[in-house]
Amino acid sequence: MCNSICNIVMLEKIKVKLPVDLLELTGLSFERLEEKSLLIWVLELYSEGKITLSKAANLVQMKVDVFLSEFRKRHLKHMGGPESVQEVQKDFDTIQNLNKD
Amino acid sequence: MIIFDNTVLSAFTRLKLLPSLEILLKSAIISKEILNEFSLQWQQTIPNWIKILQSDNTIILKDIPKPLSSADLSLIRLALEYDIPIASDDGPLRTYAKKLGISITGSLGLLKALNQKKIIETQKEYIKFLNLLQEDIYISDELMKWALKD
Repeated sequence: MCNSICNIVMLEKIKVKLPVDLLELTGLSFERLEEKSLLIWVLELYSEGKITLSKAANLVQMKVDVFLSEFRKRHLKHMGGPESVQEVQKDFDTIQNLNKD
Repeated sequence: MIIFDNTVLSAFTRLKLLPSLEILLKSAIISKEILNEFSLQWQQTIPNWIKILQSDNTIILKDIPKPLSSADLSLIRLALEYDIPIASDDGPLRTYAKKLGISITGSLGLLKALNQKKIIETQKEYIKFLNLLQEDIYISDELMKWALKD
């Protein structure tokens, strides 16, 4: 999932228990099931806007474009941009001010 | 000049609107750390008008939120060093940047600016791009109305 260019991030880990049946139902190996469970959690956190795209990709040790293709494959939507008209208007004004300079 | 984070950079790459952004912005910056987070194949698609800079790691940042990565922090450092805005659709990055007094913008604001400057020439095209953007990013009805207002 990660080549030598990836930043090496030493993450503390926790154990999560899953029903053994999942191995048979998904046909995945223990390692793949672990990876996939992590990916599902991280996709959800990113979708909810709780972590940045960069942080999400780091957590699953994927390149950002690979993570995004996993995200799009599931037709998820990302919350995280402006939340109100006032905020988006401010965003727009930032660009207008740039063009004045 | 503006700094792109990877959400905005990948959104406008997907919409094939980077050449239009060049007309609007003339130049932009990404950090080396952000570039390295993309695959080599993807890195090769970055046009020359987007400069790749190394951030100044001697800039000390306080109260760094957990949802941010070291690459996100490199953008914050560049924004502080060059005193320019960041374009991001990532909530935690936008919030932290604002806390530090950094100006922020995002994909929707950029898209509307492209439309207002007639860089996106027709309303039909603009609506097509809004719909494409909405495939990835949640845009509320209220924000969509704002986007469509003259």
